[in-house]
Amino acid sequence: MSGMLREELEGLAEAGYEFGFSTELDTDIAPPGLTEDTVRLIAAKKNEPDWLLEWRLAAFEAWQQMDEPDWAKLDISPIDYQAISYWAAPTKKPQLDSLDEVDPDIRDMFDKLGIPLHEQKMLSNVAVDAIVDSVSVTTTFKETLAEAGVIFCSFSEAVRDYPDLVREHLGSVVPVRDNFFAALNSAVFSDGSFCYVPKGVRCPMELSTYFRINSENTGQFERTLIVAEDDSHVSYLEGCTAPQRDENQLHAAVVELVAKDRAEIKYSTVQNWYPGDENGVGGIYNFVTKRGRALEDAKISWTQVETGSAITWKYPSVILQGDRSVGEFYSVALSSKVQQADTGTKMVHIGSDTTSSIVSKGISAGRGQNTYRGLVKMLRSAENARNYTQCDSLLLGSDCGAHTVPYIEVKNPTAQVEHEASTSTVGEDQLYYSRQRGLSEEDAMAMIVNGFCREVFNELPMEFAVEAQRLLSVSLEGSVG
Amino acid sequence: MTTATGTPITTRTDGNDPAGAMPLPTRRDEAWRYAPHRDLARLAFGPAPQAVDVPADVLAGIPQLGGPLVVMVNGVVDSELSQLESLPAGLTVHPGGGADGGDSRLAPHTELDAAAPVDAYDALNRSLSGNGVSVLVDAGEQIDPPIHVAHLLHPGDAPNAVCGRVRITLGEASAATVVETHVSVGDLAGGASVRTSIVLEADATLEHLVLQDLSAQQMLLARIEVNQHPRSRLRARSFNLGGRYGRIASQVDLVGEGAEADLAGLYSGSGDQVLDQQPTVVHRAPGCTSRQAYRGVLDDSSTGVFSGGIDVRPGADGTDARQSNDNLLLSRQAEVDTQPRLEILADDIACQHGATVGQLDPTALFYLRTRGMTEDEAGRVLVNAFADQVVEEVRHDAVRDWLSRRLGHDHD
Repeated sequence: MSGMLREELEGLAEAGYEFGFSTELDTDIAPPGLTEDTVRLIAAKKNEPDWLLEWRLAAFEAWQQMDEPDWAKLDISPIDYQAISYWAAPTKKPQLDSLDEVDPDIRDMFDKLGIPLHEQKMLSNVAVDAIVDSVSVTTTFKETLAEAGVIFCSFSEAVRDYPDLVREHLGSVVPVRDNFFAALNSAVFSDGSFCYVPKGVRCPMELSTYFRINSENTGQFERTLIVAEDDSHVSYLEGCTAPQRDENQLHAAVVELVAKDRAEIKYSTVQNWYPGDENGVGGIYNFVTKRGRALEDAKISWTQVETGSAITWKYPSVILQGDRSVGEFYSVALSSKVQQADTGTKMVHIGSDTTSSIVSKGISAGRGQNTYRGLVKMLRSAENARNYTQCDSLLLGSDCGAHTVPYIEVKNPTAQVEHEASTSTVGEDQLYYSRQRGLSEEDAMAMIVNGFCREVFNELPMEFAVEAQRLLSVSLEGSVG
Repeated sequence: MTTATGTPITTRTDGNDPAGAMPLPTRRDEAWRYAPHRDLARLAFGPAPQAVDVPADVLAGIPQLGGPLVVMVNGVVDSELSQLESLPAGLTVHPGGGADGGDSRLAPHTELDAAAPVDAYDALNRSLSGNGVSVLVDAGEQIDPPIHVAHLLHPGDAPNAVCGRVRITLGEASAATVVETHVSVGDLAGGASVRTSIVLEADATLEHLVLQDLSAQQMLLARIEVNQHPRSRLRARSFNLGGRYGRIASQVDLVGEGAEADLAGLYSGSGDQVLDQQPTVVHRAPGCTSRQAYRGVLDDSSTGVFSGGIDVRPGADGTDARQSNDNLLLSRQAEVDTQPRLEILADDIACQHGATVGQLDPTALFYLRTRGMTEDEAGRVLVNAFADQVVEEVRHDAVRDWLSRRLGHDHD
């Protein structure tokens, strides 16, 4: 790599965090520490029914007996789970008749993020369930959705208004004992989103939730549950940015998707939590359990663009339970500065004629470490199942790392699995050729990196594709001019 | 041949090895994820048992290579069965037992021994195997006839598992072929841990073959460590065919600029065999090339495991590393677990890996049947064609013929 490029890469490490601001908000914060009483406090604060408290307590008991997983290729300083506060809520929870009643501070924050709610409601066809810290403060477009019979609300509201639906599906895809972080989330989750699409309904708009961490030292534990009944269709967008902080913030989310017969769920994420500074100080620790269960002829598609967080530990998965179900995973993960990402997917083929495809693009720059870790499992019952996996890594600089750890387990002879991977750098010849055609070195670099990610960007909904490209170019700003 | 019989050292009672109190690997250890742990737990390692009678047909059953032959029974060289007279010039074979007279060419192996053991079986091997056999080739010499090290396993009751050790050094710009064969005397249950360390000095070329054909209740835990200096070339082929559990773990360290490692292997399982390949190539120097190409054919309820690593360390610029693993599943109960790993810490590199799992191509089967073959015959032709890609690469006729017979590939 040329000296010129190296300088640019140094520039990359110095590129600031565009969304590094924080909003002054009064918050109601529980004292740090996690005991059974903390779990009871959260349930009481949220006026939750007894069955949910019991469920939380079972999760807490399981969590206490579990060890933090250490198999990921992540160098994490020990997390003191007793030093974290497990409850924070905006004190002024507005009674909303109209969006004008939303706290101006919150409004201002969303404006900075480019999500002007008042304009969105009028101008765009996107419903936004805005979450500040843990409690949902405003939800829009409910009426339009209600007409279609789609339920889209905060998790707390769902527990209150649709307890049977929640009770039936909560933990059905990610059980409380699934893993350390899922158990923790199950015990202390604060809020999140719930979406229910009835039989035969095609959700009239793309559903979108913007998460935002705003309280220092407060772990954020969202829980998302999406249920798509037979023959329904829903596209869900999740995007995150967070203000600049010096202390690590723990984020352990759980997302559960249930796609019933012939249903389709498309779940897209742009993740841009604060990645920490040039020396790796601060930054979000992001431990996420995302899993979907696909019944007969159903399709679940995960698309993610991961550019933020100091630590990313995330494996969106699909259990292909029903015959002919389809699972997809498209991912771009960028690690720069001293970011570490260990991410990938699990495709578990149970039904016959199930198919899955995995396209993973990892970009490492600065001192970033990027690991693809995936499992493709064909059980004995997975007659004629198919998987195609492609994972490519791009290295920009000599101090970063790219790692690929795929697991393929096949127990059915009629199953076909193909896995391809490559690791490469942006070649001098590629840059030279592009420059010969009149492109500046930085334009050439941007073009090559964007081209590298194209297959994944193509899968994103329009709005997200734009945001994703913007994020990537911001993150690579120092290195490409 | 006699060996002092000490108190058997058992791993069964406390699950620990005597040397470093390392716990036995479990399913939770990545490198041992798919191993048959219940059977492994029955191994009780100890010194080689008293003299063993080796029936003539055992030695007649191994490939007849016509060159130097070292026969190791339960990890100890049997000088009566070995053929080490009139060795070619430039070749030295130390039959172990402290008879290497402090040969300075063995110093790099002593260095390798100083590294911490990777697991409990490695630790057991170091404490129990002694010096083993050493094969040394002088600088600039080319040894034409293959050097054959035949490991014969004849487990006792307690202990029922033994350790063996092979050290190979090729001097600068020398060339040789070493064949290691693992076969059983009888069919008692038991196992062996065999550690081979190989040092290739600058510009040396080694062809290293491993043929594993133990009987159905026996287990081989082979560990091969290779250190390659500048421009040295390794051509390694492993044939993992017999035993209840056959494990061939290789770690190839490319420490010198421009070194080349070419590893390939075939594993062909039936019954309830578990055949486990664990090759890792570590690129530590710039401009090195490596290739791993492994193929598996799994029938009945056998399991094939491939966990291959390409590890590119900082500074190993100009690395070209490739890896592939292709598998054929022939039965509904067969299983393949493949894990092609890449760990890259340098830029200016090109690394690729690929893995496939599938069954016989129905259209190819159909085509052959329209030509008058039965379904069985057609299947055999296709399986043989798949396996032959590895077999055909073996340059020594005697080994290739032996493999063809063993695999039932007799060509007319």
